[in-house]
Amino acid sequence: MLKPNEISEIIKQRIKEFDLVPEVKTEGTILSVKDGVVQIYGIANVMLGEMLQFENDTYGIALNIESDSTSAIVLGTGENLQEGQVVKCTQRVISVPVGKELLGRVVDSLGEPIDDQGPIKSDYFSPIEKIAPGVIARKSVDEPLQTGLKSIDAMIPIGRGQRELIIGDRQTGKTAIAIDAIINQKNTGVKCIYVAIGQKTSALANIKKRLEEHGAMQHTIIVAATAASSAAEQYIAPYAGCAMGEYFRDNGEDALIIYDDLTKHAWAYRQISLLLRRPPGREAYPGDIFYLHSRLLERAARVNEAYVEKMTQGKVKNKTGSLTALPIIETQAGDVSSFIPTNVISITDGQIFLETDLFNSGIRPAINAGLSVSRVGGAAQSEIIKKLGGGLRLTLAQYRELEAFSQFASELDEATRRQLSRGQRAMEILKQDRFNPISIGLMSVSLLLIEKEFLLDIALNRVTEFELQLHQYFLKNHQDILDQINQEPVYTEELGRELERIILEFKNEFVRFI
Amino acid sequence: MTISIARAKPYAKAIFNLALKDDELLVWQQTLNILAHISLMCKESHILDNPEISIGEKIDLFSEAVRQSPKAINLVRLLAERKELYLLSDVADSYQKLFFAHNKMLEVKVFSARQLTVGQKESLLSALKERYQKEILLQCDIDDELIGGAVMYIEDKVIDSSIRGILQLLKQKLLLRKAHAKTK
Repeated sequence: MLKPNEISEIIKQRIKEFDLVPEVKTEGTILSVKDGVVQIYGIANVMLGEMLQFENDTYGIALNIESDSTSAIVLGTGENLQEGQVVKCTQRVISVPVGKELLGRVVDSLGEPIDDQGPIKSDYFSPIEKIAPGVIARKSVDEPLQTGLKSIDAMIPIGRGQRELIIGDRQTGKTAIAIDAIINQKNTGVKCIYVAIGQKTSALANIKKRLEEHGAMQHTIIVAATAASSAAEQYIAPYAGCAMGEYFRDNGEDALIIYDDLTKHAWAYRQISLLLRRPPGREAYPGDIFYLHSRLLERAARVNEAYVEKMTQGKVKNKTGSLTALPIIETQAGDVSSFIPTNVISITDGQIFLETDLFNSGIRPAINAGLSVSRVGGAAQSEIIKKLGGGLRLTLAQYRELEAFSQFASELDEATRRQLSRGQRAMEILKQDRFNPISIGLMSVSLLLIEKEFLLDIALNRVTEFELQLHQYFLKNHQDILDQINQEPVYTEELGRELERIILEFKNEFVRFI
Repeated sequence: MTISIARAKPYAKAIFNLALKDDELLVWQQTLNILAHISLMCKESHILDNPEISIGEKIDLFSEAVRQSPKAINLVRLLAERKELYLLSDVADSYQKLFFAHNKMLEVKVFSARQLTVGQKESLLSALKERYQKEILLQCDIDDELIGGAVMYIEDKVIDSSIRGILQLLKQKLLLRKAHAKTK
C-alpha cells in the first residue's frame, strides 16, 4: 500500500517531468454528423488518412478532402459528437500496439484489449497503413507452411510468405481450415493473427474457446471487429492485424494472418464510401475497391536477411521474415465470378475452393481439387510430401472422369475398375476431422498408402478406420521414424522401404482381425 | 458555424473577382459588411424565414441600404431568388478572408487572461510579422477562463499557451500514466 505522502511525491515527480511547451495545433469545427461520417470545416492542412481527435477522446480518420470541407469516419459509436464541436489534427496516422505482448490476447481494431485480461504493456506502435516491402527487400517463397491438412499440404501446398485465398459458400468449412492451420502452428514458432471482420460475437467466442482448448491461443492474436462494431472499425481491422503481423515479419520471424472474411470487409468499405458520397461503381462498390484489398495483401510477403537486419537495426542477422496471408471470401451460391471474388482471386497466389456439394456428401474438408491451385507453393513443399503426394492430383482427376463414365457403363475392364477403386480410396484418405491437423510424418504414411496402392484390398468403408489405426500403430511403435521425417522431411529409398515394411506388417494384423 | 460557410464561399469568390476587375475592393467590402449586418438583424427577428413577408419585400429591405450600387442589388436579388439571403454574413466573412489574402494581411485573434500591455502587443506583432511576412491585424480579447497565459488563433492554427490548456495536457498525461500504472 502506498502512503498518502508517497502518492503526492509521485505526482510531484510526474508534474516535474512534464514539459511546459505551448501546444500548436490545427483546429476545425464539425459541420454535420451522420451515420458515422463527420463533415468538418477548417483544418485546411489536414492530410489524407490522418487521425483526427474529437472531443470526449473520440478519434476519426480523414478520408475525403474537398475544397471547403473534410469528411472523416468516426472510430467507435461517436454518440457524443455534435455540430459545432472542435476537431483537432494530430498529424499522425492511426497506430496500433504491436509486439509479443499481444500474443494470447483479443483486441479491437485499435489494439485495445477486449478480453478482460488487463492492459497490454506493449513498447512498440506501428501505423496501420504501410507500404509493402519493395522488390529488393523480398525473397522467393521456399519454406513450407504446414496446415496439417492432408489435402492442402499434398495438393495445394502453402509456402511462408504466400497469399492463399480460401473461397466458398457459407457453411463449407472455410473458417475450419483456417483454425486448423493456426492449431498446426503450435511449437513451430509461427505466430498467428486471426482477424474477425463482421462476424457474430458468439462465433468468435467459439473460435477463441477452440483455440484455447487446443493450446493454440499462446501463439495467436485475435483482432475482433464483430458485426456490432461500426463500419469504420471493420474497415481498419485487417490493416491493424496486418501491422501486428508485420512486426514479426520485420523481426525475422514467421507469421500467419487470417482475414475472416474480406467479403464483409468490402461491404464495410462500400458503406463508408457511399456515406462519403463517393460515386458507386459495379455492385455499388467504390472505384478503389481493388486497391483496398491489393494493398492489404501485398503486405504479406517473405523478406530477405538484409531487410530484416535493416528493420531491426542490426539486432537480427541472417534471418528471413515472412507474413503468410489466408484471406477468406464467402461466395453466394458458388458464384466465383462476381466482383469481390474475382478481385481477390487475381491478387492472391492461388485459392482453395470449397464446395457445398462435396461438404454435404461427407468429403470434409470439402476442397475441390480441380479448381484449387497454389501458384507458388510447389517450390516450398516438403520434399517427402512432394514425392509421395505428387501423383494425387492426377489420381483424383482420372477418378472424377471415370466416375461420371462408370455410371453409364455396366461392365468395366479390370484397369478401369482398379483406377476407380484407387480414386475412391484416395478420396477417403483425404477426409480429415476438424481440429485434428497431423504431422508430416503421419501425412507421409497416409500418402504412401495411396501411392503404393496398399488399400485396394481394404473395403471402402474400412479405409478411414485402417488409416486411423495405422497412425496409432506408428505413434505407438515407430515414433522414431515419424520424428526423423518431421525433423528432416526428405524421402530416401531406404526410408520408403522401411515405411512400406511397417505398413505391410500392420496390414497383416489388420486383415487377420477383420 | 454551419454548413453555410461552404455555400457562401463561391459567392464570395465571384464577388471578389468582380471587385478586383473593377478595382472596387474596398467599396465591396463596405457593401458586404452592411448587407451582413442587415442579414444578421433579420435573422434575429426571423424576417428571412417568415413566409408572410414576400421575396420582393425582403429584396427591398436589403437593396434600400445599398441603393447606389446596382451590382449589389443584383446580388441581393440572386440570393433572394435562391432563398439564400441568410448566407450574406458568411459571404462577407469569406470575402474578408480573400481580401486579406490579396493584401497580404493576416488576422490574428488573441485571447488572454489579462489585458495585454502595449509592449506585449508590439513584441507579439513584430514576432508574427517576421514569421508570416504579412501585415498583422491583431484582435485582442480577454477570456477569464484561461486562468493565465494566452491562446492565439491564426486561421486554422491554434497556439495554446494558456494555463488552462497546459493543465488539460497535464491531465491527459497523468491519466495515461495511471492506465499504465494499473498493470503493475
